[in-house]
Amino acid sequence: MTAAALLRHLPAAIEITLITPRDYPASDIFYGSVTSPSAYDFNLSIGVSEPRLVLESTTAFSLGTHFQAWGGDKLSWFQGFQLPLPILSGVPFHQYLVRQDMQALDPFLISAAMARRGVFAHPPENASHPLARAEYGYQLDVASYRQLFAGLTDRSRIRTLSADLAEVESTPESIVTLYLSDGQSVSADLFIDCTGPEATLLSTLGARRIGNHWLNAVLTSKASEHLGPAVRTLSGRHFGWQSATPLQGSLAKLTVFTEEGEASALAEHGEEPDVRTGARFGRQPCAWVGNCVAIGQAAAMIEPLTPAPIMLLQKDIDRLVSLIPLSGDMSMESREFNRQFVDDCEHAELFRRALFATAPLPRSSYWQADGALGSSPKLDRKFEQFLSRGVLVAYDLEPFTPEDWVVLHYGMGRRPRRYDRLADQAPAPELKQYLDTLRRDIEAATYNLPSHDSYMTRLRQYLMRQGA
Amino acid sequence: MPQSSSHIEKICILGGGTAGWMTAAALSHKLKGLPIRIELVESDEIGTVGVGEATLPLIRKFNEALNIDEAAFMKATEATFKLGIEFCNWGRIGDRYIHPFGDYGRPLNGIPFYQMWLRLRELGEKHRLDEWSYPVIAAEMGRFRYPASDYASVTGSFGYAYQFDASRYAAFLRQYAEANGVIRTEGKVAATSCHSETGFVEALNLDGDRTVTADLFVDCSGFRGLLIEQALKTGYDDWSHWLPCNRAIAVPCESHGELTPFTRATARDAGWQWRIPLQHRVGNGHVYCSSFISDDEATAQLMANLEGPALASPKQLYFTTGRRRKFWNRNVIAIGLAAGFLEPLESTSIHLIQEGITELIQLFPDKAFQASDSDEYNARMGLAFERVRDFLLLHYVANQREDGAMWLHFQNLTLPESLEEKISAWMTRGHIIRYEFGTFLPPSWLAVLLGQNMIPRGYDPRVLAVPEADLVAHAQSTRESVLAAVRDTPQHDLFIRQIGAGTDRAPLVAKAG
Repeated sequence: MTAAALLRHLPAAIEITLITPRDYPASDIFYGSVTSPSAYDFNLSIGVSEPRLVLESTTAFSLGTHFQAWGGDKLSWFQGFQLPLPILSGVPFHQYLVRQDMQALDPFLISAAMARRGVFAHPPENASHPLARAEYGYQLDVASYRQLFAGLTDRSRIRTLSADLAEVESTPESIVTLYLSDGQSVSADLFIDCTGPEATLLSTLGARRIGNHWLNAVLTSKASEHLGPAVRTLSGRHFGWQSATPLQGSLAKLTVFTEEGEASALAEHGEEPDVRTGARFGRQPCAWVGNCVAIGQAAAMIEPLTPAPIMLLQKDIDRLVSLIPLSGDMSMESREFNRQFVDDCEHAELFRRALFATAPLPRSSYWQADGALGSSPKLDRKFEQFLSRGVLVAYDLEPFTPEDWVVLHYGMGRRPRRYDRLADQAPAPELKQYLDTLRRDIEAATYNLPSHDSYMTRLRQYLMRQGA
Repeated sequence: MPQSSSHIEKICILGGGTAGWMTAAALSHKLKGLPIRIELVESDEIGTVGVGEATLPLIRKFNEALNIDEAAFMKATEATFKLGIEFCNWGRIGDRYIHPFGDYGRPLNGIPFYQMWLRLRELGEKHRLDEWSYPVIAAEMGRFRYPASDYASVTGSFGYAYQFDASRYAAFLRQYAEANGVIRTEGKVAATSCHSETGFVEALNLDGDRTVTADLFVDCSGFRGLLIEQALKTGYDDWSHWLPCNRAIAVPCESHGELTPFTRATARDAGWQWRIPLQHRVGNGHVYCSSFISDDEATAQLMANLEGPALASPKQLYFTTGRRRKFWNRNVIAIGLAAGFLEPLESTSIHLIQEGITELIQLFPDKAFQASDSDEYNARMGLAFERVRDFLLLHYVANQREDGAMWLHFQNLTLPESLEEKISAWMTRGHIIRYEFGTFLPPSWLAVLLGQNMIPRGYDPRVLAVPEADLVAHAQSTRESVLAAVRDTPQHDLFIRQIGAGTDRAPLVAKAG
């Protein structure tokens, strides 16, 4: 993806060499199997249109993730993508739910309604239609996704070397030359480290990851004739969690666990794993050191409970493309890259940590790991404001939207103790009628929609006819 | 969920200047239908400062939220439209630029237009970046129209604000608020009663043995901060070491020449002078630092640089740049000058009042006055003040002026780290470090930096991936669209009359003698 983005955006005068290993790291499965809606624009910016994505990879649509049996109380909710909820007379929608003592947000979320029925359709252009509030991302298989991007790399503009890295020659401040297993060597002004959690290049400059949480995972892809719903299911287990992601032609099953829970995790996984791996989670203190920039898992490993791993990867690439250095002095670029990188990681991590802010938590090493992290003032502020009065605190340029947060809070059973007093201005009967109508309209809008499988089949047929 | 007895039942707003009446108008509208009484206490004896007569585009949201008719408001306040601020003598003496309410050009392949302009400049482009800004060219040609609904068009990518008589705006909002049930009490505060244990303000004791009690007090009493400071001793963060200007002299003058849709800020030896054109007069003022110029000299400089005869005697103001340590302390919320002071170089005074009111409504308390409410309010307002401060400071430090003690002071100043980094990123490659929450977004930083001759050493190399011919064609077509759109735009004064916002009064003239 980085190579495709650089080729797309940089002038031809900048020579790019891509060194591809003989085997891709198994840790790629930790990118997870879902993207957020931001993938649409990102992909388009590097030349991958949605038609191409669905025709040339196994990618399917995603309305969100259905969390099941989460935490000690076995919470269950649909973490769906959603455009901003209505603001009525300047008061956020959820404040009216608190006023009405309505506990559920789901009936008012179009993506949740579509997910319940297993249907899918693109949001219409008519903004007043309930379906127009739906947002979607993608369900993907990392290898298939990677292959699609690999096909974009214009071979006339890129020198591709297929070999393993044998040795890195560096000074304390910068990388000088890479020596490859086939005897070739590569020198460059800037080195981009996409080697995965090992961060092979960045680590030669002394980088040491912050974080000590080790997780294992197994992935099995099972052929499937019919495409399942546009929903990933993710179930909490004592040892960690399991997810099932419908893709075109298969169902991807991922089991994530700590070492302590390995036996039961593998037993529950049931299938023979296609991929098996483990990695230490956390981030680099700085993803850009000297003349080396770490991208994706080389920069940060975040658990794929949410679309965060792909979101952060996209952000890494966007950030790099906008800060390609102008000269050998990369100090300004690296400072700015690292500032944004730390913010992005921290903000993505807030959302992940919020998933563990529930009690009780199972007494296994997986569920207890977050307890050792200490408090986060930023997360505490978010919780305090939401629980106190339903206010959604936001920081600059967070990857997760206020809607993601409100859906998460409601899903995990967090409810404001007070509501905005301005919500009292709406006459109770009219408010009730408005909410009843909205709920009915949302439900009704999904009645005649096709199943995800049927929609995808017809979409592919249509696109192929167009292509022909 | 609070019981009804915990609801705020009475609000007292102290001070009837711009901040006081804006707060009263907004609260009376937003809280309509709820059992909350609002009383505003003001003294006819105490003059109001009438902060900043120029505003930022968000003022329209404020008026719209109150369902205020634009033409009626403009007529009542002698308002004109504002497309930006013209800065004179800021980069070097003799320079000028406009900081517009809008972006420059159209992006191409996700690259901001100004990066392409930097490349074109290298190739010999002679036109200013301004030529790709509809609001700059329209302002320079004295024209105005409403923004088009299509954001992608050159006439859709700008905003506008107003220049108005703040005293008249306060009077206009007073009418509005009183019609909404706000009680106005005339009186001077003789003493404040606070709870012996909690320190909460319980009552204002007015002259004539009258008492005003309330659950929530909004302190709009101006610089003195009668409640937030004098009663609650909240404390003040002094920012004079960054922004040392501490005095101003204001004077209106006759309006001569055309009605410009922009405010002007002209840098002087020890500060700067504002010019705000209204329909019936021009507002002028000199903001200066008393360490570098005497009051008499500052007054003389101002009076020598008026475009017409003065309409009143110059009025002297004293201030300390900074912010109250807490904007919300116990049951008192300070809004306006009681909350803090930042010189009106970028017309932020009324904007910060508006921010204070908006956050108060969002975080409206109950009688429990939970610390989480005030903490959140203070965090949000603190960030707003700090980010405006850095943007103001940028004007003083990103320039080539070394011609006097004040300008040399700025050349040697240690900047806040965040600002230092912003300037460094800009100078290296025209990169603008952006944030999401703050008044001034990247186009504003761009306008000031380029306007003050801070030309970056490099530009985004992505520009080089665009073929030169495409770049030239894109730039040319956009520039032509801007010029064509401005040619089709009516004159500012004509537009004001066309929409029925013209005042019936003749322009003011100075009294003989």
